[in-house]
Amino acid sequence: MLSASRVFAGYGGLPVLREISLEIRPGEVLALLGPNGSGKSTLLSALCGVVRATEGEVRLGGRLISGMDRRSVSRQVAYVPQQFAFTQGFRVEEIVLMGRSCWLGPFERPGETDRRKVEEALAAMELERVREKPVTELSGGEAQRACLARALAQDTRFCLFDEPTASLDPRHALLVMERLAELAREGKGVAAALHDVNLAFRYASRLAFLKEGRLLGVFAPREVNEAVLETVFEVRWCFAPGPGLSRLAFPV
Amino acid sequence: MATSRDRFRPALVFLILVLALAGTFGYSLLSGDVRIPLREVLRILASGTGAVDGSPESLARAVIWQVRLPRALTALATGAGLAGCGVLFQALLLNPLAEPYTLGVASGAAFGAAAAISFQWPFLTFWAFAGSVGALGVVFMLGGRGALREPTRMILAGVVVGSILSAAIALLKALSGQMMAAIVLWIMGSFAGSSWTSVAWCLPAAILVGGLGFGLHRDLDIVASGSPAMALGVNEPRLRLGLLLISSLATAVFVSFSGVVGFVGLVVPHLVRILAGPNHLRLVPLSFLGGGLLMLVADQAARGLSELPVGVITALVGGPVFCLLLWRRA
Repeated sequence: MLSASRVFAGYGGLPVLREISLEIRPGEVLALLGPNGSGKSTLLSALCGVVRATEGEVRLGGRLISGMDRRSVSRQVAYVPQQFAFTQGFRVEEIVLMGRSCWLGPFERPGETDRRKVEEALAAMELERVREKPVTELSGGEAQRACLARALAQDTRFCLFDEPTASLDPRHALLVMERLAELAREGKGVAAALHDVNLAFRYASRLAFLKEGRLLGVFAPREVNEAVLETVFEVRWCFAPGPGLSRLAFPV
Repeated sequence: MATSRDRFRPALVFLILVLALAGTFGYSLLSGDVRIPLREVLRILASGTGAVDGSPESLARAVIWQVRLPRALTALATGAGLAGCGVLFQALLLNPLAEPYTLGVASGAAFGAAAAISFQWPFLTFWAFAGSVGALGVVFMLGGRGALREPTRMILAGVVVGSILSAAIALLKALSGQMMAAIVLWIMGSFAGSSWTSVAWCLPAAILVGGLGFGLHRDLDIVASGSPAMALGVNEPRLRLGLLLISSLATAVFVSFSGVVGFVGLVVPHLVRILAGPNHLRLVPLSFLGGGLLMLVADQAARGLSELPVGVITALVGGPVFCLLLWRRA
């Protein structure tokens, strides 16, 4: 279990998160939703210990994450931030292999397992064709998939993704969300900050809504109605029937 | 994961560098005002330092053991170390223009040396080192804790401290009268004063920098690539603090003994990246060898040109090569 308990966190002394308690359970996709600046990214950063909680605690498997070394955390929690800016021309497969770095000693060469994980991640994100390409020459969508592949190669119990479909075309967005759902089916705990409410309805087991750094509530997809969305996003919403038994939400 | 081309090209560059380095090092022991044949040089090296008794053989022995060998080793270690430091600085500060002098170490050393020359203090090297460490301390203090997460702040602190010290050096030059030429010459760098003391400081400093860079190649790859290092198991602020501090102190050692030899720490890592890619497993050792080679070649040229400042030659030799590679790449 990865959990935050009454967590306050922020940057430069200014709090962004205010008293947030939330847990990510193995086998689920938890969607984080909320308007810009609501604290979704900061919450994901705090959950993997990249941003320190100024109050409250984050625990990973019962242990305080602030007391664990980065290597141990990275073997259990993968995190893909919203922004990515590759500064040097490493090849795509080198970037994906960096996900295995926390499993390797300083002079240990990547073994069979590492190579297999990298190949699987490249295939899952459809990056085989550009594997030799410098990441600085990739399109925005390809670069985002390279970051996601790196996290997949990391092979952790928990995966945190900040807007994983932000730069992707619809087909690749669905490919990524399908893979996230697959990770959950494999027993991993997945949390993703999303702006697309319908993707969250379709793929998440629970939806956590944040606003102004506070957690407004955690709902099952079926429990979310117009009133909830309107309270969170401050625009009116309507629902329409989607394919099968699903429903689609639209801001109006 | 590496393709055969990836393995072949760096291996070829490595082989060429090792052979060129061995050849240049050997040549630096052979060449000079006193002509000593190769066989004699080898015999002297094999038989140890021996006593100096005024005979032609003991003169040759003194030239090899007390002049040429320490000078070549100091130049080799300084070049290799500065290039190694350049790799670390560019990776840790996420800035292609970063170099070992970015954090004010060179300006500090130059100020210390200029003050020592102006006021005729003894132990010039000590004052240069003290100046480096003092400047570094101020830069780290100005940068503060936040600088370890935000390298730009540290670069700015280095630029500010460097500018203030440059103005102070200019003032010392203006006030020093006849000593001005000595200050200018010291700042431009030379290996003419090398000794076993400089070897004893510079060689371990270079090995330390190279060893750390090689040992931490994966962490450096992650940081340099712009990946979220903390999320990939690298304690980025701690790595940045430790390596910047160690490589800055190593740079302080190099400049204290040999002056501010520019160009090597900035350009050699870029040259190697063009030839062998950005992976630090290859970048660190190849830059180490390349820096040593460039510095040895530059020092050889300096010796042949009436002890011209070695910094001028590193730029004159390395600059066109770098331009050529950039042009070919474009």
